[in-house]
Amino acid sequence: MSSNTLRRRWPLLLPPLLWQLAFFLLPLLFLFVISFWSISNFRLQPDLTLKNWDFMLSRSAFWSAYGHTWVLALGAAIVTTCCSFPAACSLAFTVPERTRKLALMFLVVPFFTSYLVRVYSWQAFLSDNGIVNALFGVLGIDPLPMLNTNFGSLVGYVTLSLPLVTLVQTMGLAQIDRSLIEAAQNLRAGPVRTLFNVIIPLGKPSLVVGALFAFILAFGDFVAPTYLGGGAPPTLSNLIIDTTKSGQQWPRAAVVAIVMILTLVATSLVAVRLAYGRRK
Amino acid sequence: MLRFARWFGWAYTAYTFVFILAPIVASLVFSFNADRFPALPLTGFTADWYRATFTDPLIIEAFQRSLMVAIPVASLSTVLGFCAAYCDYRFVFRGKSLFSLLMLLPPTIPAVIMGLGMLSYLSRINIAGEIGAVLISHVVIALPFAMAMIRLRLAQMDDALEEASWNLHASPAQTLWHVVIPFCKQSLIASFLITAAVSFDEFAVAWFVSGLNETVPVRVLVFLQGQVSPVINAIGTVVFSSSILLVAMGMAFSGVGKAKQSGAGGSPA
Amino acid sequence: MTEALVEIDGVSKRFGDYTAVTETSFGIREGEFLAIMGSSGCGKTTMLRMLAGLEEPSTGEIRLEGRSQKGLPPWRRELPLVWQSLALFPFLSVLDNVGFGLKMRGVNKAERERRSLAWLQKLELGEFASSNVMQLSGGQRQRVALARALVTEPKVLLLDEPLSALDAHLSVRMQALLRSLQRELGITFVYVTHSQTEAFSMADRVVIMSRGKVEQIASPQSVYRHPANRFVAEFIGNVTILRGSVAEVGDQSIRVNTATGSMTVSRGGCAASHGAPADFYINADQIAIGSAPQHENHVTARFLSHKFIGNMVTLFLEVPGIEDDLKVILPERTYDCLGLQPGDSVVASWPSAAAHCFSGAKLSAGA
Repeated sequence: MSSNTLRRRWPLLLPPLLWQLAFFLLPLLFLFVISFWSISNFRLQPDLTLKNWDFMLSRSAFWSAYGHTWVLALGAAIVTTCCSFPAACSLAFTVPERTRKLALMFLVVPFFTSYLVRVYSWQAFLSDNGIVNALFGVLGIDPLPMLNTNFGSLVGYVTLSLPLVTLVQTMGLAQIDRSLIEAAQNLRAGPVRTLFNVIIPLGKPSLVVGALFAFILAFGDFVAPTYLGGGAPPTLSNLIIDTTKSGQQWPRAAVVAIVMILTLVATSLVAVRLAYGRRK
Repeated sequence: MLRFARWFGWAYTAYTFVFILAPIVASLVFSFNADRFPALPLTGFTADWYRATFTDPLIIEAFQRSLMVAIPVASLSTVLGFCAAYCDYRFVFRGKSLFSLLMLLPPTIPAVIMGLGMLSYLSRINIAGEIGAVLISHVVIALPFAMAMIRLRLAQMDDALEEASWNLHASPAQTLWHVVIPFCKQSLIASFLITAAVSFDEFAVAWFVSGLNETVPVRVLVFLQGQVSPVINAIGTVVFSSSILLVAMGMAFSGVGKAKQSGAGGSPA
Repeated sequence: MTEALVEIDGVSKRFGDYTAVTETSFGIREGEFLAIMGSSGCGKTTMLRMLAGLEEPSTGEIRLEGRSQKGLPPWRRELPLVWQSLALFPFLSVLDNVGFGLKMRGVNKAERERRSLAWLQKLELGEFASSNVMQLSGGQRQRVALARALVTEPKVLLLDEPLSALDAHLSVRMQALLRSLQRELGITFVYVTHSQTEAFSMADRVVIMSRGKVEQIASPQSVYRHPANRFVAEFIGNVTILRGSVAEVGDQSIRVNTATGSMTVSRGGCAASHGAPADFYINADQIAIGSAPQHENHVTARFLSHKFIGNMVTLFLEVPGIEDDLKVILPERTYDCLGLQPGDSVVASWPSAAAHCFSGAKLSAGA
């Protein structure tokens, strides 16, 4: 663009940059630093010790929490992706533009409303004498335990990420060139083959990115596994909270946090490669 | 066959929306239900839980605190978000993608980790436990939403608009004030409302750093840790209504669904 | 000649590896209507943006009334520009759009509104002063953009293809408006366009650019009658170019041998020497068609096709030995009287005054 205009960008660039450096990047780096510090007399002491790492990584409770969190988050990613795909297809391909925009707006709104209250509300649906089991009773089905199970956690995770995942999928699918789908149908590909040979391959980036979002949200969430999943076995987030709140063991919690961040970064890299890698 | 698939799709979509809206509606319904325990059948209408909510000094204080945080958070993150969005729009510089990444990354970091990081860092510089700590953390989390919304609006701005302003003797600073900001006005208002909603609903980081200064969602979390209380439904409904109002107003202002309006001119040939 | 109001002195502009404008120098005279014309990518818009200060020349400098504009940012220049997209401020009323430049110069509100309103009334927009610009029609917005640029009473107005988005009818009316406005105000207009009609109907002088270079600067008539080179001739498109070698050099004319025979060409200013290869062109509207030669130069040709342009007809003739079709422009009435059918054989003839060598060319054997 204009080559000789506006060289002075610092007044605008610095405030947000400094803010995020000071209050986002530094706290995260500080977590890394304190994972090598020690606690004495309930106070944080600068140190350079591997004690915390050793303590956490050598405990089987940590690794079982890690495995549990991973499996739950992966389950949440798969379930959410599968649950939102039909709706996203429907929104992307069969409704007029205006309806789609309205629907997307309805999807965005819950994203900004209290997740806590929604989870609390799910308790009323899922408890042993809750709404769902009451409906089952009407239909003559025996009551099922749902609250304080992994199923409960999954419901929470889906509540958390379904709007976002549907949004991402719908926007991705809506960008697929409609003529490709029509071409497939002209070539006598049935709906199922069109779905698997055209829509899914072309919509893959949005499917993978959506699943990644669901994974990240579930991996870090502590509300659903605590209040719908029963809190046992703990997830990594539960572990951080317990270690921080009751034990005042911030360095050990920091170890868990760093392992979580590394896991998320690695997962994201794999997902991005999966989404965009094999094209071109 | 195809028609069947289409109807199935629509029915499924409707069902999805039911799933998304069900807890919200249930919370609203049970907040007026006489029975302590949220179960069917409903036992009768009562406004007791609302009365309990609005007479509980802890809840009132929490509401005041939430507002005291949300308004400065919304202002600050909108201002900072505008700066970041404008830098991303206007300038070409080395490390720009790193800059944008740093701006947009916070929502992807699990809130528990942010909470722990903030708590340990802010207590090191002696701010933890104060309401200011909540404010700082919430700006970090809300800034990306502000930046994204304002950046979307800037993408609709005709490049010639700023040039025209310079051409008419407005310095870059004057152009920012008299052209860019008025052009983005609606998205700035939208950003203010939505970042306020983000702050108003954020509980995890606030729970870590607020100490004894509970905000509304932290109060809800504390309730949740205790025994079943229909007061949660009452607070929840109040909180829901206010956040939905904020977000809906924000969406209306941001002009979602409106036609793209660039500079007021004929379309370039 | 230093009387030029704006001097462009050895200016070039590079964007990375791409050179948009190469070593260009010319002057813009006070009070003239100058059109810069060329196809897209020829550097005409870059030239205009350099004048406005939106791009800084890579080499050379631009002077306004003798003052170098080097390093002067756009907001310190007095060269308002009318954008192709108009770039009106959508959030301001018509009046505030027009008054924007005055506001930025610190003119007080009352004065600002008085002057803006005066301009709006001059351009017949007085009743729309408080409207939103988005509510106006294309032609009305055009005039708002003009008023916004003119309200500060500049010496030079820059216009970047302002009419290209308008329909033909509106464009013609705006051309008349621009021309009369320019005459009345005595301001210098620098008007960039790719449209020959716009340039020729309004401009006092035309600059023809191609690939970052100026090919010719002259009045529309002389560009039309005496294109400086092959590029300009082809760009204007009203001539047929023939190729041959100089057989005889006279005072007023030269004889050139071509594949279809020997022809007399008026010499104009070019230096010619015997045996040199020579390109020359024949003006399409000075060729006569008939069954017998009516002028000293003539060829026998076959009628191929025709095309109406207004009340004139362009005929395309095939001449043995010549690659390009011979173009002939006739009034429609004359064409009708001929009653030609495709494939008919005709004799095309023209006086030597209708054929010229390119004014810039040197026809010497070594060149």
